[in-house]
Amino acid sequence: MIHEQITIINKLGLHARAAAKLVGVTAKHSCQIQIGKEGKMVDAKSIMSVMLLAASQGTILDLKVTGEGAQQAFDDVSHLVGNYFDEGE
Amino acid sequence: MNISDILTLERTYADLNCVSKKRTLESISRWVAEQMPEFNGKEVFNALIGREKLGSTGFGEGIAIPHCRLRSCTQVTGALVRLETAIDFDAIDQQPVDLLFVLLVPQEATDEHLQILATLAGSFGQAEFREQLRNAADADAMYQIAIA
Repeated sequence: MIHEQITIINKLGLHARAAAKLVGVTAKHSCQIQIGKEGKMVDAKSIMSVMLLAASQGTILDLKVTGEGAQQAFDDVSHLVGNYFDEGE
Repeated sequence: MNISDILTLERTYADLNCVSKKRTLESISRWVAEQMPEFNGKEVFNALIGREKLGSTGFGEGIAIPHCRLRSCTQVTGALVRLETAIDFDAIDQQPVDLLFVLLVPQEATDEHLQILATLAGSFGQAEFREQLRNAADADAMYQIAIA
């Protein structure tokens, strides 16, 4: 299992389109992926659940990945988040 | 932020009859602008359809949350619409959509926007909430369920 923290750095935070992009990445992986904060973890493959986090710019999120291909899944998610969800800011 | 802070009974609509995503957003935009003179129906429609082009707001389970930022918007404004017949919305789960919560947001309201999305996700993410809205007798009943 991989358990790391990632920081939301894009200006608009984890809004609907960013959440959809995140789910677009997580859904490609068969491993279990959870995201959350302060102990409240949600399914990172469910857009409704991801939006529940209301994660704004600067929010530090926990990312837990379990199962086959966990490292690749973790890398893909952190790349998307680190790349400002391709929003440029 | 609660749904009751942004929704009114006047902006709750039961059984709108529309055949397509475009027509539905057009009707809702016009109808919201009729009630709220600060909005221009065409401007609202263009902003909503522009947002859909970036990716569907059909978030699954028959739910769509079309939303956009508008210069003319001074406070977060919501509208709840149930369709008579579910329509294709290019939803992420490919299921047709019959419940829409339209969200108009001021240009700069980033945190407020995230908060209200979370509130809506919390309610619409529950199967029971969705079923209650689908079974509600009329707009009044839908409104009471939404703000409860």
